[in-house]
Amino acid sequence: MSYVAIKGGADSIRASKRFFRDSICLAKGIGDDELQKGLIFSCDRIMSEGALYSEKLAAEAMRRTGGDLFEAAFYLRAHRSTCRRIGEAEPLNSSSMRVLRRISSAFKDIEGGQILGPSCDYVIRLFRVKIGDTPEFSAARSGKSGLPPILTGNDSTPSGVECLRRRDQIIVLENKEEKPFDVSRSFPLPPYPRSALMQVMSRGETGAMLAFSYTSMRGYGDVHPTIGDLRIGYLSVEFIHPFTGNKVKIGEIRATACESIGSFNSDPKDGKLRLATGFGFCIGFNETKAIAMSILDMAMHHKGYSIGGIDIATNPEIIMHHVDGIESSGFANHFKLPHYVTFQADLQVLEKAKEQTDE
Amino acid sequence: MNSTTFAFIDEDAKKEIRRSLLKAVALPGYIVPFASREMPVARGWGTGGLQITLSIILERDVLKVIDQGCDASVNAVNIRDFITEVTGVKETVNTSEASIIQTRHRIPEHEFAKDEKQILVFQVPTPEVLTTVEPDTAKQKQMHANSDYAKLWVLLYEDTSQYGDSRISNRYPVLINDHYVMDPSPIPKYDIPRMDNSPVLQLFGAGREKRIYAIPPYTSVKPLKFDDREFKVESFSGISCERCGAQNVFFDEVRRETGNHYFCSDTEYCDQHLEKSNAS
Amino acid sequence: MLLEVQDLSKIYGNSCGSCLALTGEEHGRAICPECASVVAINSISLTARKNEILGIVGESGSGKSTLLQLIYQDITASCGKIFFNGLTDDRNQPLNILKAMPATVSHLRNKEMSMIYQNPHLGLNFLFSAGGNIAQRIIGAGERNYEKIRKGALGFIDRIDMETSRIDDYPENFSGGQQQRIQIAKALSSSPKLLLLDEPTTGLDVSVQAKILDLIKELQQEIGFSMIIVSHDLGVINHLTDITVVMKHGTLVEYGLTDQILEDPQHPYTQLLVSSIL
Repeated sequence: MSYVAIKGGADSIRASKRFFRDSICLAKGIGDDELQKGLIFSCDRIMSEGALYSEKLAAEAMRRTGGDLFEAAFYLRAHRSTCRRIGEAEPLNSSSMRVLRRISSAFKDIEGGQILGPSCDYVIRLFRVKIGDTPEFSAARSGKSGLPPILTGNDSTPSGVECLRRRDQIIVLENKEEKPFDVSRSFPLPPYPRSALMQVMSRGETGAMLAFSYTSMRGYGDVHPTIGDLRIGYLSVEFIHPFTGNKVKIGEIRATACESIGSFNSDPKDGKLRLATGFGFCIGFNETKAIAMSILDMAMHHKGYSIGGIDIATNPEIIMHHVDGIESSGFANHFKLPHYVTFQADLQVLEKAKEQTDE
Repeated sequence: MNSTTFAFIDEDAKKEIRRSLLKAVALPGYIVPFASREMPVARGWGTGGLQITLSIILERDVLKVIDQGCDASVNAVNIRDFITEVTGVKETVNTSEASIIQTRHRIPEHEFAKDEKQILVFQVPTPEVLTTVEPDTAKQKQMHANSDYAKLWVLLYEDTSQYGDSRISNRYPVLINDHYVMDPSPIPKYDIPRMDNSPVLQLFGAGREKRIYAIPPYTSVKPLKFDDREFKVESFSGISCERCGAQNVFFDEVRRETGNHYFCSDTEYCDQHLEKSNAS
Repeated sequence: MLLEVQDLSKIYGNSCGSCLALTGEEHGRAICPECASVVAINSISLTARKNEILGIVGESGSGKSTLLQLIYQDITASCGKIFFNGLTDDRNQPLNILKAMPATVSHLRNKEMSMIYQNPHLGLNFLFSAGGNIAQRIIGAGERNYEKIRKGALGFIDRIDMETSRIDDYPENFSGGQQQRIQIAKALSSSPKLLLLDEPTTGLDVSVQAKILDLIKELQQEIGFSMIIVSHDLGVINHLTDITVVMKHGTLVEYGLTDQILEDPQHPYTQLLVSSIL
């Protein structure tokens, strides 16, 4: 088995692809419904990191990649490049979310109530069947379809942080942007607009964002944020009809939003002391990602009072260029490409240097 | 996958954790590393406290678990159910009845028994008090060895100069037995003086960070403060619990449209107080 | 005697054992021909008395900054002895601080000795305010009374001719010359017996240099402490010091009264140094 065939590469590649299709992609028979509902979190990660809300394509991407989430998200991004943009939807407001789950760790009780919703937070992770209140997993129950259409009483549930904002206890960052930046149309130069950072993070890879935000939580930056509001639910997407000029609802998406509260700081607006907050949002259900994003947003805009010295999460340059999973996984995997020309050059330099130093 | 082991963790692991606990008790405030095991609840959700409790618990123990002072808080319920499930020990909400109390973020209001027989197990997210001023583990260790806490003092100096007092609202650094400075876990300042010279054995477990430390009964615990400054705890003057009427305890503040409402943070204390006032 | 250094050496690399004998001024090299170890400091002995100001000159790479760092315990010596101001062990014998307990070394560094670095980032913590930096040393010297710490910091800010209202500003908001002044305030705030200065004015404007040198001299006369100052600038040495040490290849080539050395240099290297300046 030669690694790089100078000739005959085409045959090998064809065979390799066939081999992959026949031995790895064996989910062909699994239907959209099973994948979309049964593997909802995989589906949502693919859509969020692939930056395209399509459950149908997410399921198809899973089938084609053996469930490799990086690869699957990559399929969605690649597909995006083939789609013409028809227009821009109306801005979404996470407080108008039809919430399925909504909690705040900052207060014991909040307006709108603590809604635990569906969560595995308190599941005891043991394969053993009977433990505490963990419901027994039964194949029979999976026949019933998915999530119930839970509605909160109000159409709008304000963020748990809202009560602090009303009391003027929150730093509200000045918005200097006329309209949000769109990194999918052009890429900004530093200093990066907040909207661009938010968009990059919202499309970012869950693991990378988690790791960067974890450095901040562990002391290389500000310490221990409080979750002011974390919610998952449904958001209506509205569009201005091109002919009638009326707002029309074109559908609903699943989404996750998180608002975190940090330490207090002097407000750049008037020097008064107020609390810093950060916001995280992504399409699909992914609480880890929304929490991580809210911490990174906060870290970059309010340096907090950690005096540890080194901090990574506060640096927009780091976050901007290192949280995208499509980019980082692509680059990490490119090292599998032949590099024998550059490596040969490396060896020559090494040998020349050795000649010099061994003398 | 049948669990016949009493208290979930295998006996060798328990032994290792007990040895770390003994070392921790012998060196009050000193942080002892241990090979934290994976628990069936997530890291950061009390796995350090859980491992300590499971390592020291006996069939005759009576267990109380609280979170934010509350026995009915989701995480407390979850942990208590798990421990009783794997040990079969009796559970209680009554502080004076409990032999082991696992807690997150609070110390119960009721006074502890003077016989040193109760154990308080704290769940700890950030065991290293120096993290705020020096995140590097190797440097932290050296600073402890040299009793070099100048950076913490400077933080206190800077906050005092700029804001009149420390900005640390919880996890307030404490000096243990006049030697090591220690992180008391994220309890409010209100609970700090209550750690001093306490008759309970206070054990601290950080599962994610793999550290254990301890304060033996009747040990001095002093908040880090300047000689000419007072240590100010949260003030609730003039406030009483809307439910039971208790005063001079730590209150949960519930913010509603109608304004702020106050209730005892220690729900068991609240129940008992209510019972007493109804009886009289 | 405030400070006594005996046969102090610092070797970088795996020494063959003959490094000290094969390097130094007489061999014209600091790199050992046997094992290629770098002998940064080769068997240096010197003393500093109370209130004395000692200057160390030499070209870059001669080991003068290393010597200062060895005295301040920033780096660990390979061999030799350092004694400080009557510091003794439990049998009342003079204590070699190279063998002292970490707590003793901390005390020496936090209280008895201070260092002023050429690079303010080494001497100041840029995450603390100017006042916080000064406070760090006052606290390190044992003070735990806030008002005394604050007053002390204000007093030193005033003494370095800076607006006291700037006490809570952060070092990055000060100019290079001001940063050096804050370093001086910080260093002196623990009332040290010995102040070590490593090229304290190098890289600053000439006018700023002169002001800082005057400030150092003034404070030294006012407060009274000993100094060891490293500089490649004979002007600085001439302006400040009583005694001068000339270094080359990690060894000490000339040692004497500053006036004498500048008037009548003995060693050819010193002659070269002096003639190139005057």
